[in-house]
Amino acid sequence: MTGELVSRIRSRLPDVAKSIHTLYQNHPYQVDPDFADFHVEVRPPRNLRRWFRRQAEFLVDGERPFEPLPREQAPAFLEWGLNWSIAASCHQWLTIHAASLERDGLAVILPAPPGSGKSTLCAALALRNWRLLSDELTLLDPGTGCVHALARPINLKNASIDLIRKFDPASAWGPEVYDTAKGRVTHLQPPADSVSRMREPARPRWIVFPRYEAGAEPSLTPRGKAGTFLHFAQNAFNYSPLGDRAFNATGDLVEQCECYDFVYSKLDDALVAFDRLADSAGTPQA
Amino acid sequence: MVFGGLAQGSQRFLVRQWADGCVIFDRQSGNTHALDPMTFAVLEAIQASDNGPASVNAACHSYFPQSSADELDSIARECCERLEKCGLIPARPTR
Repeated sequence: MTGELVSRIRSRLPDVAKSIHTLYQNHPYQVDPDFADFHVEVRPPRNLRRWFRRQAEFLVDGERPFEPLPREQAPAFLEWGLNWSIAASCHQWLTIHAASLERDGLAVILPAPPGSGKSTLCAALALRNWRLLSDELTLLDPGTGCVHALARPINLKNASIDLIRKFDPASAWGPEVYDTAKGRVTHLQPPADSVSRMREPARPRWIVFPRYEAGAEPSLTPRGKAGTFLHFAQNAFNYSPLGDRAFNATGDLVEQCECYDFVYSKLDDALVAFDRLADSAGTPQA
Repeated sequence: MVFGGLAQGSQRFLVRQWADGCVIFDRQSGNTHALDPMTFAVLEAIQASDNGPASVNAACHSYFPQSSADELDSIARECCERLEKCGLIPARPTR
């Protein structure tokens, strides 16, 4: 169970089982649940690729939405497949491509294109004083305006992996896979506190667009709400299908949040900046 | 949060407006557009009036009060071209 969603996962692949055992160690689970939102399976294909240049395929509700991937990417394939399943079908929420975290009941949303350092920053914040809601899919309830948690493993790649391992040597990780479309990839176990509180939604208060820039001094600058809105409209997976509801939910979100661009080069600087944001929560908005 | 006059009673558009501009959801196309304040003012003027150039120029004049008539014509034309490109107003016939 992740947040309010139940995934029934089947796999005979030992590395997938081991990865689940590590990454979801703190999540509640049942064997053969009575109900599941998604029925997923990661398995070898039923052709020559089962044995020769081995591959793995991902199925959800009996359908195979993707082409198979190299066999060694099977554990990561499960995570990516679950992301897709949620983005493709959970229309009770507006699903935004962004990370989100919570402190003192208030959420910060981190939208950013790939390579901006969003997941690295999300991991660092989650390993310190912020509760992880999600590293990839921010679930906004159009009715309440609150963000709901998934508390799933955080996807990191390449140099970010080494950076966060050094940042928190006690953290637990899934297996590393190589030669993916994004290079070297692995997943970080979500903090236990984030998992134990994953049924608690949070009220959005800040929208921060992070951007890693080597050598840069930390800089938090306000950004316009119209431009912020448009970014969300273009980066929400189900904005179009939700129509009016998506427009109004996004408008309310942008209206109630302070919106910023954030440039940084050191994680410690970023933690200080976000601590200041959280401390300012008692200050009336301009 | 300010709703422009356009949104009041409009069946076609949903609007949110801020200091840096507005966003407008066109129910007809399903598209969402960001407009700068002046272009939105022109759209409101077009929707509220008989589509006459005087009302469009008046909307632009409020943003550029020192401009000449020719300059206002040029600014108004640019705004209308932006709106046409977004499909928010019908394309005007060219001479």
